[in-house]
Amino acid sequence: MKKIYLLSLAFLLITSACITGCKKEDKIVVDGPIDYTAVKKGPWNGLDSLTDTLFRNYGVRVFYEFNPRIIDPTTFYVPAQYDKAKLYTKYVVEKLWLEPLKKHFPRFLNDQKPIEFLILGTYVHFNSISSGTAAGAGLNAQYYRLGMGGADRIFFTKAGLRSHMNTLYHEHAHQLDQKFGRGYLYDRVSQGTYYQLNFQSKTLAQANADGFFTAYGGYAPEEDFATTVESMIGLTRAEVQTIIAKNPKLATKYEMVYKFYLDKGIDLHEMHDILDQVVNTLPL
Amino acid sequence: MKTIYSITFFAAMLCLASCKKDVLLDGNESIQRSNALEKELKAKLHSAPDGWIMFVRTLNPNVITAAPIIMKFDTVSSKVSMTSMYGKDAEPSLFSVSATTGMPQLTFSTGSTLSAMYEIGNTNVTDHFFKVLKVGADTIEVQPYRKGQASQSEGGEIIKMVRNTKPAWIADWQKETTKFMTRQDLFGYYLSTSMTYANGQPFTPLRMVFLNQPAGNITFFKENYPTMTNNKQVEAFSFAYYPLTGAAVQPLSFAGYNSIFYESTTGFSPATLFNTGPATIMSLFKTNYFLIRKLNPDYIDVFALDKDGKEVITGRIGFL
Repeated sequence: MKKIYLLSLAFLLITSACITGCKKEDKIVVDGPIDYTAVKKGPWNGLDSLTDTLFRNYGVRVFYEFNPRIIDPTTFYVPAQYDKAKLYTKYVVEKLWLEPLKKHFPRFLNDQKPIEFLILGTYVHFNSISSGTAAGAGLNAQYYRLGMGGADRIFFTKAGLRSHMNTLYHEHAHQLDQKFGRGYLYDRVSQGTYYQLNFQSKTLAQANADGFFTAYGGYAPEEDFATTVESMIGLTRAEVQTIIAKNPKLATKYEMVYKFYLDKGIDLHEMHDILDQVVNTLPL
Repeated sequence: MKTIYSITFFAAMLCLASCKKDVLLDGNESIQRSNALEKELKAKLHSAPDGWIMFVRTLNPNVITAAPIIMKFDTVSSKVSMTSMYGKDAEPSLFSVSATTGMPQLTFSTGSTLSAMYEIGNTNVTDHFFKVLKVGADTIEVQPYRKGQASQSEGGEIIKMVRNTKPAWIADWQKETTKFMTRQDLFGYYLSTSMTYANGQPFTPLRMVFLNQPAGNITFFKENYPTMTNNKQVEAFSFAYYPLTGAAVQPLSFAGYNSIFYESTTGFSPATLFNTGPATIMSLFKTNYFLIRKLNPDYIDVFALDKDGKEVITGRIGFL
């Protein structure tokens, strides 16, 4: 019995020696995730302050400077000029996109906004920087971020920015399409009649007669969907009605898209009118 | 009792073994290391009051020259101002320093002379992020992060930036105060050329003509052509070659800060204006640019440097 006590005692002593003796002195204290790739930002410039304000007000973070952590290695583009990025953030992102949405369609903004917005100088080249005209208007494949290209090229005039908004809603439409799906029935409406790359030789009148809003819309179902949104943002309700009267397929797809957006809290026809008003208030 | 001894012995061994300190990968050290590298780079960038000179090489195999870009870094405001054939003290653009790949990275983060060169292509500037490979007393070695194509491996050509010690060619290049484009008396005539090459190669005079671009083209270039949208001091013209027999070559050419240059790009068409035309002139003169030493009444004195800043072409263009 005594032997067992001794054994137990020895065991306890040894255990406590191990516990105390083995205390690691240089224990790493990590307060949070280590950001190995952080970019050290110097003093903020005017645009940094503006993007911060937008983030606070709308929950959308605007990026105009890039590093390999923001960009993936197969996307090629050039950063925007500082002045252009600043104008773009102020007028396009804030005045024409976020502000009207927050005021008129807050549910849509809250649920469907990308939380990151990238402003690029060139259009988006996917295989090589020198792919010429074979470039995308924006980056829309990730739900949480939307990127718009061509900030160095767009015209900072009322007409130029108004037209750019059509493109912005076009790119955002791709995002919603990928997020929710445009639907089985939508794809069946014009099935078999898409032009594919032959869209380049089609006129607008021909495309309308064939059941598409634009020739590019006839390229494939996803562009059909996005150009429908683009047309509804760019044209008045009356103009849209005139076009959809040209082909019942157009009318069917228009109804689907209009409802798709209504369900998410935005009336695209109203948004068209709001954008027309807002763009006229810009000091350009 | 023997049992206790042996248990104690084994337990003591166990203690020793378990007390061996693990060599932990300390993330904080990694941050300290990259911080030190960044700090070193920033200190070096900042320590050159006259800036750093990057020599950019065009990829045309016939060209023996490299174009200098003098960059002055303000590490407090993160702005870099560039003087090159594209312009003098151009509107500053932003840069940032990070350590995204474990080594410092220098990013020219807004539109600049360099981003325009990257976009035009055909030079060794194949990205606007650069890995910093080596920071020495008077040289900084950088490497574009990518080669410019999706299917190519990482890392472009290594480019050296050297501390600006005010070499003689800078003074030579910067003394002319008249702008080349104002010398319209040299435009629209057959001009002769004479060139001397430091490597001793012979040169047969070429019949050249300075031509103005149509106003519509100039408007288009200012709005769309990267070299002109990013470099406001650059003006477009055509440094055209009129052979004694055969068709003339009329490429798009530019006049920047005391300079004449031309670049080939596949991003625009027609090729004769943007791509093959400029490439022909590069091959004829073995350079993609001339710095202007002096605008004389009847001719202009020009020269060009190689990647080490050595004058390798000295020439005259005009009524010789």
